[in-house]
Amino acid sequence: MMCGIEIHQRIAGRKLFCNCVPLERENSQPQHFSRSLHAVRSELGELDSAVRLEAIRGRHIQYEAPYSSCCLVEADEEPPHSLNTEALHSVLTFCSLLSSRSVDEVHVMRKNVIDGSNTSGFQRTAVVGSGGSIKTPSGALPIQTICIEEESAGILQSQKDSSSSYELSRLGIPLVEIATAPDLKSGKQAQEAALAIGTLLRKTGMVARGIGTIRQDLNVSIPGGARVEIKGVQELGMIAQTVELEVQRQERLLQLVAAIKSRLAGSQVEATFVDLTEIFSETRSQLVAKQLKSGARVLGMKLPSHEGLLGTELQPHRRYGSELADYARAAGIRGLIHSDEDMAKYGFSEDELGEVRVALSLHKGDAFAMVVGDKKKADAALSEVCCRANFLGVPEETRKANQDGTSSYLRPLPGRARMYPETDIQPVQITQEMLEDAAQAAKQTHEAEKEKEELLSSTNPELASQLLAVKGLLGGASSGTAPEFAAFASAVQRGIEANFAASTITNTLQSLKREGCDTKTLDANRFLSALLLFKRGAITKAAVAEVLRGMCKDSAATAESAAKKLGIEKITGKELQMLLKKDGADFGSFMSRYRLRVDAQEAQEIMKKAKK
Amino acid sequence: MAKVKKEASSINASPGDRIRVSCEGGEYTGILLPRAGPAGYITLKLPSGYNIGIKESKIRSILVLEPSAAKISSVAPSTGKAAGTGKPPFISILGCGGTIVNKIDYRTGAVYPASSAEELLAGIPTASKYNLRAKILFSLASEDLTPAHWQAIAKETQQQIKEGAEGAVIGHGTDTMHYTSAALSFMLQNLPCPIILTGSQRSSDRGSSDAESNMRASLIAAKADLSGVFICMHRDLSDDVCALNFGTKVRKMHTTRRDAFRSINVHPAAMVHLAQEKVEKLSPLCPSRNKAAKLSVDTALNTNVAMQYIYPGMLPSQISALSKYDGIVLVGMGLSHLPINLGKDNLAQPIFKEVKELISSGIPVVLASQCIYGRIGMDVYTIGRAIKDAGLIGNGCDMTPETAYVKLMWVLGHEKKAERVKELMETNIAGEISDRSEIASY
Repeated sequence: MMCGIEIHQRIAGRKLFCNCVPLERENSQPQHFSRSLHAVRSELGELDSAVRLEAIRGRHIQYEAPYSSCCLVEADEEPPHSLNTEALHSVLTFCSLLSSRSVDEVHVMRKNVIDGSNTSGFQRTAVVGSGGSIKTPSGALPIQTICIEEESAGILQSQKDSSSSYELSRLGIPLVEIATAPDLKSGKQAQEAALAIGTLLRKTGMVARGIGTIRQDLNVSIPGGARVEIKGVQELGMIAQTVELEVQRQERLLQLVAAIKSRLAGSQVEATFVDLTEIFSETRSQLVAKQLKSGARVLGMKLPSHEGLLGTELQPHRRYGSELADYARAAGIRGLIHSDEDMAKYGFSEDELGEVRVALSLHKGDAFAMVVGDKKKADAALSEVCCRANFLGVPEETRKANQDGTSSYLRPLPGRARMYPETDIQPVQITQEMLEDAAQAAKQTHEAEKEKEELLSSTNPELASQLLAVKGLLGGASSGTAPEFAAFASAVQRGIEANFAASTITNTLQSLKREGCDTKTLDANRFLSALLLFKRGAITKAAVAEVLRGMCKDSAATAESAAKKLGIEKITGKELQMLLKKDGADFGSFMSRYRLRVDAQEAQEIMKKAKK
Repeated sequence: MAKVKKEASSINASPGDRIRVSCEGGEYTGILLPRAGPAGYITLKLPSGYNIGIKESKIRSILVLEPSAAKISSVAPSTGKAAGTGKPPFISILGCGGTIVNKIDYRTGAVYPASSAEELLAGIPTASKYNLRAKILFSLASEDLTPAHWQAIAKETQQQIKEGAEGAVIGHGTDTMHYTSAALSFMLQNLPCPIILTGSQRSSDRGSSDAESNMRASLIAAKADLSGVFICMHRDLSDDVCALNFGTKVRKMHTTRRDAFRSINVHPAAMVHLAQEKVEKLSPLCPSRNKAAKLSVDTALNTNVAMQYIYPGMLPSQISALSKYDGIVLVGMGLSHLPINLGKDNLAQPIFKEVKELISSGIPVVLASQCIYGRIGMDVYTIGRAIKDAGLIGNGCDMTPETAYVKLMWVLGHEKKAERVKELMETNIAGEISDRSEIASY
């Protein structure tokens, strides 16, 4: 098996070719407009097959342009501005971290995409670096290329007819695409590599965080199979299974192909499509009747000697018939009906099926496939099905990752024919200074990492990993480092015991938040002041949580004022001696009464001395 | 076309060759491309389709793996020859250049015009639905077109109608399309059919080009029940509807947007709905076809006309320098104003004396407004009245500066007498002066 991964990670900051900054929330009404996109030939005069397919669908695309996070550039009403140099700096930094060699001059290319996800009809992308490697638990994994590119628009809805809606706030966000060599030997290795790359990118503090900011594509092939690209695996934890299931799909397809070949004995599936609409003019099948009313046609084709093969399972709940149906869908049809399915679920009568068999001149062992829809699209759909059925092997294709680890056919694997130069942007020369800046940033990342490791060296490993994972507990801006870790770091530097500092964040703050306290009113400094108050001996360890709770409730309160207001300043020395004399007969009940104000150890020592 | 730089002598390979480049830090394999950017780099197309630049000084050696199959050369456009089998009545497609008939030379990134009438026809969507005849008149960026080109277009249009055209679509660069449309409006009198100028704001090498919908809409309009000269471009950001704007009342108002062309001071003549393939007339002034109309073409122009923008701080000598022209359009401020220093301020720099000198020397001086929208009014302010008394032409008119400029050339091509020139300039000839200022036209 051969497997490589591509990581797409959003880079923080403004967009790649304009000055818009994507906002999470928009207050104003968006603008709407609609477009139709056309197929464009490449510079070599070829029409990419993936692009051709989209052109068949002839989609009409609706766009929603939020006022604040997009401008005329996203609307394709103004040429792109020059390449965002901060984003380029980030990508050069990633190159440096991966020991990749950067190109001398970055050429922005147009990659044809006419499904509507880019208003221009293409995605802008450029190679920035190549080579290098990433450390993974199974050893160093070579990197192939590092690209900078623009994010596509977010789909709002896609109707199976021919219109789609997209929202433009995402369009143009800079992405880094890191493609590894196809050296991964298992799904587990692929998952580890994705984790390693994602972690490295996050360490720089230069990437966007949150849901959807990182996506993984997988390239999988097996001997005798073909390169298949599986797009958009959202969850890291699904990578291994997705890879394994693709290997299974290709293996089973190869077995199936052998069976089909021996049955067909050299003959082919013929592209003869028969209009079966008349047969279903009075059908009880709701599915078909409804579509016929709106002018749809039923088209069918013979799949000679295919009986039983369409039902062969390739992946869990996905049969060879589902593969063919994907191809029909890609031409804009809702689905495919085939003879290995349970016909009862469609509500067809025996008479209707008999007539279909006659109309398609089926013999024993033959199967059939039918589609319902607009005549032109139904024709295109069966053509696609026919081509796929005659392709006796594993086709090179782009597939969509499904949530259960299986995948569905999306489009043919795009080739170089869909790439041509972006003439609106001049090539960018990578200067020595840019490389030095990137190397410096990479060095800082390494140093910060080392510092982090040192800080964590005296922390219990479980606490340490919890600490690195927490977020959203403390307020305040931070550049790169999470405010929780910044607070931990300064606490340790000020002499607070590391485990105590870590657990106050991961346990105390977490439970305050769970109680409903707004812990974000605390920034790293306010949080630290409570710990320092304990260190100075003004409050007990147990009182730290109470002081923090008080400070959460009153954003103006200092640690001192909160302790004072709560009346939990520490009782110590002579005062404690007196108190013990008065109330300390039963030490257990004394401590439970003064738990927040008395250090148990100090109290015990005083008691010991008194007994002497 | 962008210059293809000769590769440096150290680069022993030609564009189109598949090469292996050894350089500091590693190797690259790909196709050598012609260089369009700054010197000192080579451009390589990688097998993935991506291009990259490699610094020449870092290159150790280049090995040609496979020489280029064909030399890369540019094709010179062949003008004048017609294509299309159209028997009358047909729609005439005339190529004048501009983005709409451009193709991209991907290898250099340069844009070049359709090189033959066949190529022009091949690039037209829905061409098979129509009976078309195509011809390339010239392949020029619209900024290079001159009044002589307007005359050539007018004469060719006349010829096409004579041969049986029931309408014409003129592919034109957008930057000066409104000058050409104004010129054709004056030159082509008594038109029996529609003459549609169209262009595109996004080149056809992108999937999102507006060329396709503009051309489709123009063909629908050219076949519709209309007559006159119109500019047909997007109504708004969507590809669904194109506006038909009167040739003398339209202006490019945006550098990049698809809906850059706006009707000025009037409603657009009509809208073309692409899905329904229907023309919806909006203006009562939009005339129908008239088969009986006898087209007369009058291309006489006096091109010795200047247009001068008036701006704060301009020197009086700049006005005096205009004395060599036979006619002048001043693009004045606001309602009808020029710096004339009625307030006798020490810092002011009036140019009025010089304007008056031009007029008294017999040169017609027409006033249009920088406001673009609205009418010239010389009766409202004291300054305006002084300007009117001095003999400036254009009071009460609502022509765009560009239309006024073209009209003055056309009027001076026919008339020398100052009074008669003023009279003609202030009389509506080709829809350039509207009698009502509609509230909704701004």
